[in-house]
Amino acid sequence: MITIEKVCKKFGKSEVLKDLSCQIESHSIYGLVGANGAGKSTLLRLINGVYEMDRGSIKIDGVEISDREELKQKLVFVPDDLFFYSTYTLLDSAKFYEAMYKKFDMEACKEMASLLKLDLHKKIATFSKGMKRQCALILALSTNAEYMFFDETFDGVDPVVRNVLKKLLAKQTLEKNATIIMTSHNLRELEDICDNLGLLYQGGILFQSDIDTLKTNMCKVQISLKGEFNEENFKDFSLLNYKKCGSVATLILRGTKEETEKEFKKMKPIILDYIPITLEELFIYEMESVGYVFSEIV
Amino acid sequence: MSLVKLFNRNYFYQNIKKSAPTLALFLGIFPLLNVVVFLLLANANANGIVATLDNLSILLLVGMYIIPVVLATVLYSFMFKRKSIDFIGSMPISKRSIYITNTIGGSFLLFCVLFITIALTGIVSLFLNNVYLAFPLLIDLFFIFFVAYLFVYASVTLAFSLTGNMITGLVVTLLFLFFVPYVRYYKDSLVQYTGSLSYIQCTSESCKPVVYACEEYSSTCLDHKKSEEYQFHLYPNYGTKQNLLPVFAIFGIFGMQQIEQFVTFHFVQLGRTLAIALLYFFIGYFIYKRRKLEVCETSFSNFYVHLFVKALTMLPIFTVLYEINNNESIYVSVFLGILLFIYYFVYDLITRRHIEQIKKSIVSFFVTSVLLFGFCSFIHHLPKEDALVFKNEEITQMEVQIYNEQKGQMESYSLKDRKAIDTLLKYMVSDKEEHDYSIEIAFSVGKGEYKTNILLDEEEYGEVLGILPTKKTIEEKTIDKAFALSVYGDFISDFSWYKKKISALLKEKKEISTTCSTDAVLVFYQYKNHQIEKIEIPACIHEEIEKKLMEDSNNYATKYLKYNTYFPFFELISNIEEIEYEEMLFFRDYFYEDITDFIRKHLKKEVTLDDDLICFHFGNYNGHDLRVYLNAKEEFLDLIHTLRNRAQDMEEYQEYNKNIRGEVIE
Repeated sequence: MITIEKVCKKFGKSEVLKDLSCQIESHSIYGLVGANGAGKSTLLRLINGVYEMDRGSIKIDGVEISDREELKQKLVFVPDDLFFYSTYTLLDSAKFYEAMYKKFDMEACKEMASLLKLDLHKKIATFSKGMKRQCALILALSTNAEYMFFDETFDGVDPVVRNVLKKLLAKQTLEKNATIIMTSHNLRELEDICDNLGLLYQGGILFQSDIDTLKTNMCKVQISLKGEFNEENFKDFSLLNYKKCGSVATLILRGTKEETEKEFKKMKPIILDYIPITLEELFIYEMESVGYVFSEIV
Repeated sequence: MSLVKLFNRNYFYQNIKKSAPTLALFLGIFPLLNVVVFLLLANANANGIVATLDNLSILLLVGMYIIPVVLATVLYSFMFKRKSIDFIGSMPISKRSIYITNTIGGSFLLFCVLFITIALTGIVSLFLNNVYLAFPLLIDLFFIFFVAYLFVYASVTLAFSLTGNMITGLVVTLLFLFFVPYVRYYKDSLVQYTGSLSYIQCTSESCKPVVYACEEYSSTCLDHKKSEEYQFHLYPNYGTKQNLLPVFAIFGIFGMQQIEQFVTFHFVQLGRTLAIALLYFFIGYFIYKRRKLEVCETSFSNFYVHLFVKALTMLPIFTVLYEINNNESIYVSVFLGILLFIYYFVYDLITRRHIEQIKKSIVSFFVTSVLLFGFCSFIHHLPKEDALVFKNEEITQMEVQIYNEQKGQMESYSLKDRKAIDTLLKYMVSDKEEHDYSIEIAFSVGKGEYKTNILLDEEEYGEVLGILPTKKTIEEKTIDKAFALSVYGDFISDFSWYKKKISALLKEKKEISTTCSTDAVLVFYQYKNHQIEKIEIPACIHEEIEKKLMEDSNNYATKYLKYNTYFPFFELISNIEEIEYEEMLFFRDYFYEDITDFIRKHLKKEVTLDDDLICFHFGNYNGHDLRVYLNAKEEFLDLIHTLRNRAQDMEEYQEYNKNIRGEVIE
């Protein structure tokens, strides 16, 4: 588990992280969402010991982070702006990682490279942006580190490969009990892979939750009642959003399907449909419920 | 935690592997290049060379400022780019480990570079028959430069630990290396120096002031001379053994001092250089450990430190500006002032990529200028060091190095005779614009040891030769370590016979008189007390030696004369009353073949010292010398008689007789 408490980080006069606190459960995939400049990359660099915080505490498995090798063996970080030695091939880079990480699995690296059709003997500098990102990801996965941090994880990767990579990430968590922390400014990228999500805004975690709870605790319903009806008819529900188009209203409300369906049926609706809710919608309405305009945050 | 534990071999290997071309350059090209320079040097001297610390160190000195800097740049380059900081900073290696790995690994690489370079030079010298090299010298050379390279590497490492981008790192390195000598040079240059050769140079550790030159060109010096009281003023010398080689060698590279003054094996110098290098590494370690990797792509995190370093870089320009301003060249001063103002902002653009706080910068420019002006003014008004004043009688012993034109070689004498010392001191302060000869003297005054050159005209030179002791003795000096022997500037490859013979003589007699008159001097070279020492022994100290030398010379000449027929330089060395030097020159020019035929005919392997000998000297364009010794004086006089008869009708000979002898042949 990663425990972050009241972390502050300033660059000159600008305070990038302000009393940031959160907890990241082990063996899960944690998505960190936020607009550009929200502090996502800085937070990852602080956890990985690249930067030093001004105040606060970050603990990994109860141990305060420090510039110690033993602790860093547990972590691997793929930044948003990738770096490879200009003369190195993928194999050379793998050897570099193998030299640095005790648990590096060269065979797994070669397998993943083969799966993604990456030439091990070609200089990485000649690869496209997306291919470089794939290289960085498979190198990081091969380290078998307990905590993996991916900044702008799928930047430049095409949708097909993105799905393959997502499977590889999920496999790493399931089979090797890895904890993956990934950031994106795009919620859609994370919704089908993350177990937990945190929303970073102006240097602090604005909101965090596990996605399953979020999804089960919020419903999107299309409903039509006999005769005229309006928002007042649903005042007994914990309504987050109400829109009516013609005789059909779309409601976003708190509560599970089982709980709300009984209540709706009592109103004898002409139409009652439960529509899958997107993660983006979940966030939009959660944010709006606490007074934020989501579009201004992400 | 031990250093061994902190040294991460894998990281170092990978860090170096990524820069394989640089490594190849250091470990392959550089040693080869050094060998090429050495070969060029060896080939430039047809008579052969004795390898010395300074002639082996030409490329090593240049490399001293390049190799450690490039190496540090390769090893620490990741610190100056955000991308690479993310990459290395997140790797499972601590900052302490990175620093220790780079320090130990970098030092090891420098060790390898120097070891390969110097060993290769040594190995190549074994295959060269015109190079004489003492192997202990190579070991000294290695230590001198290993310590010097470490110092430069430590300076760059410390500079990189302090700074946030490479350019600032290199600027700070330059400041570490050259700021102190520059200030010292600036301070010293304020004392007027006439440019005359009449200066005395300190050769010991304890001189204070260090070096002196006669300040006034003529009148005062002449007064000093008359009153036998010598007063000299400071002349900067950066080559004393106390100075750090990497810091002050720049004066040698720019030709302001001789390289041999810097490249010396001196324990104080080496110890001090090593101690400072270790101190730099140590300070660098603590700074690097606490370094925030996020401070990159900018000069320093602290703006005021940036301003301070920028001010230091302005000092060289400012000193020039100050001097020009003092000389009332107002337009040049204004122009330089504008340049300085532009530089002040361009520096920001280069090191911080933007001009920070323009108003603050303008204010700081003027504050900096005032401070630098104050600094220059302070240096200007520093009290001059006291002049060295001494009287003749304070000098009781003097060492003299003089070129004996008659013998064609350098000779050294130790004088204790009051009159002789006074005569030399009389000529010490020279106001000559033209001179024919220069001799070197060395003496002690108080705790200081000094040396200087004395300029002499023809007459004075004759007088000096006259006062030098005629009897020389060689006290017990073993030549066991001798590795080379030259006679007439030619090196003798098989010198063991001579070495053995003379060594036995020295051991037996303890003191050898060298009053015998001969022109053949055996010069033994040995590497003793970390320097090349020459021991000169006249061949005539022992008949057997003299005979062997002549026979060896004849043997060599016999072989050489088989393939070579013409020698542009050719002279009769022996003094023969019956023939004058100019007449011999005439015969050489007009009866070249007769004389060379005579030489070929009488040239024998064996020589008898009991009979009269005549000696000829040949030389070719490559500076190659031959000497032949013939037991044929009577035959040669017969030849001369014959040649005179044949020449009598020649207009040129008549002209010669008229001009030289004042005779008219009827």
